[in-house]
Amino acid sequence: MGEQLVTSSSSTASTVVADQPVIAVTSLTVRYGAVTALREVSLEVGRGEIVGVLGPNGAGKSTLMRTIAGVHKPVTGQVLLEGRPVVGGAPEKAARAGLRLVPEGRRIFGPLTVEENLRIGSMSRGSTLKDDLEAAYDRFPILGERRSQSAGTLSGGEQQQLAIARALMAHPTVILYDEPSLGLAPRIVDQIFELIAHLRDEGVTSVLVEQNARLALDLSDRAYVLGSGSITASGKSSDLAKIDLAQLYLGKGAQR
Amino acid sequence: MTQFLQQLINGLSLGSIFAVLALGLAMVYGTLGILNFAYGELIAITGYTMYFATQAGLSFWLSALIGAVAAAVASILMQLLVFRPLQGTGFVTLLFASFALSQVLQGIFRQAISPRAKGIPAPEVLSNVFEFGGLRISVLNVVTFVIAMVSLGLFALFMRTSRSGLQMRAAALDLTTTRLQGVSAGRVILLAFALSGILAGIAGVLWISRTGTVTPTTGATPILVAFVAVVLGGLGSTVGAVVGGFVFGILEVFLEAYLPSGVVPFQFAFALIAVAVVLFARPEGLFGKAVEVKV
Repeated sequence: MGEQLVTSSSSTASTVVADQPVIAVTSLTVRYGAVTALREVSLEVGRGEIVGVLGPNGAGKSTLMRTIAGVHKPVTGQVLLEGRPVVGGAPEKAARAGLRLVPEGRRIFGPLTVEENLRIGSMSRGSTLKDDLEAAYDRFPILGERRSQSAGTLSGGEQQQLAIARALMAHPTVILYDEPSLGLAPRIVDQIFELIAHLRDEGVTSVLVEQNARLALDLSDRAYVLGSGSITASGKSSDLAKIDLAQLYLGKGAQR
Repeated sequence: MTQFLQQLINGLSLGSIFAVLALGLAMVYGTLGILNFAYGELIAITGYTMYFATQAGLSFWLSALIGAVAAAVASILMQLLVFRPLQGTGFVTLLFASFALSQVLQGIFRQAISPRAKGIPAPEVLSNVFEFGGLRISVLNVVTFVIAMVSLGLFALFMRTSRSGLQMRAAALDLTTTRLQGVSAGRVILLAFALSGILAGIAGVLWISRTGTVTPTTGATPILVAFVAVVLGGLGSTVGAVVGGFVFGILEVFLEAYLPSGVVPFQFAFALIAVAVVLFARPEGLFGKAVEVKV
């Protein structure tokens, strides 16, 4: 369903189409029962950008990613993907509009084979093309070697590669990476981050959630800092990198 | 030895029905986490459809086919009319909704059709028995076993090789992540209910061929058997459900054959006690994973 997304909705009609943000989040509030996980969060992600989302544990980073992907239904506010509202509670719709979440903890299908995991990644495309599988194996040779092995037997780094390869099977326009470095050896983390940079060069817009702020600020163009459900700082990553992290997390950040 | 083989054959035949029954119940549980206790009424719906079809002059085999299809349609309607509106309300709500649905359907059968048993005469040929090295094997047992095994085989093939099968296997492992790949939850869930209904229909035809009658509470034993087999095999495992069905069927036949005649009326109770003992040793069931609490 590779939709050519050139139309803009009325709410963003004033902007030039080419400059329309790929993701526009406006005053998003998300609650789990009585707990407010996100409070009035707004952010934008432009085409071809890597935008970092930083913050301590429990700040709401994963909730923000899952809401952008359509898993949660916000109480107020909305998410626009290429100018169209994301339907809360229907993640398959955002997925078909070209968005992929590489979830925290990778969430590969452990009992299924590596190749079956990749095939599921391409479900929104109507058919799994042999070319896409070959491209995945070219990019990730280890996955090619283990294609008929069950995915649960892969190492953590390999599973992260599989999670990204699965996302790429859909030819997405945006990928949300939720803590891709979690639990991986530094050498592997470097590889994953190189890959994210490389994919951006190929035109994939990226949102990168990280607890490891240094890494995220190195890689991203701009970043937002989340603290207990609200954005406490935002700006160019190179500017944010100059600020003491503890201060950043306490909310004494740049602009805002 | 002959006696043992004879019972084993009977047990395999009964167990193959239980296996199909249990698989149908496990389908919906695996995808949605719903234990559909109105599943037994699908057997009754197959039975009543067969009854009316044979009354209308259709052949037994054609009636059986229509009966199985009716169960599939009824299963899809259960999802659309009862479970879908309650989506997201939690396990206990859905469980009680399925109990209520079961009672409502039994009430409808009683009021609209009859509280009394309706006969569905099976063709003569099924009651034929042939002897083979001292064993007495009924055509019904053979036909039952063959139909059940072919059904299970086709089901496995569908799940292993088709695109929809892959979607369903992924959805059973992690529905949200599957949806994040662009797979429609509504479609997968509807397919799970359709397959569950087809399996109930096939098991229903085999069950009704054995009992020869249908009553408003025809579904009571099948749902209990399916539930026990699913738990025995391990909740959430389709392979476990099939194995659980066979084990329970064979167990029941052997208890009936070998228990002292005075306690044979309690064979079903003994079978349940045996299952309880197995679960005491392996709480997760034969093929289940250690119990995980789904958040």
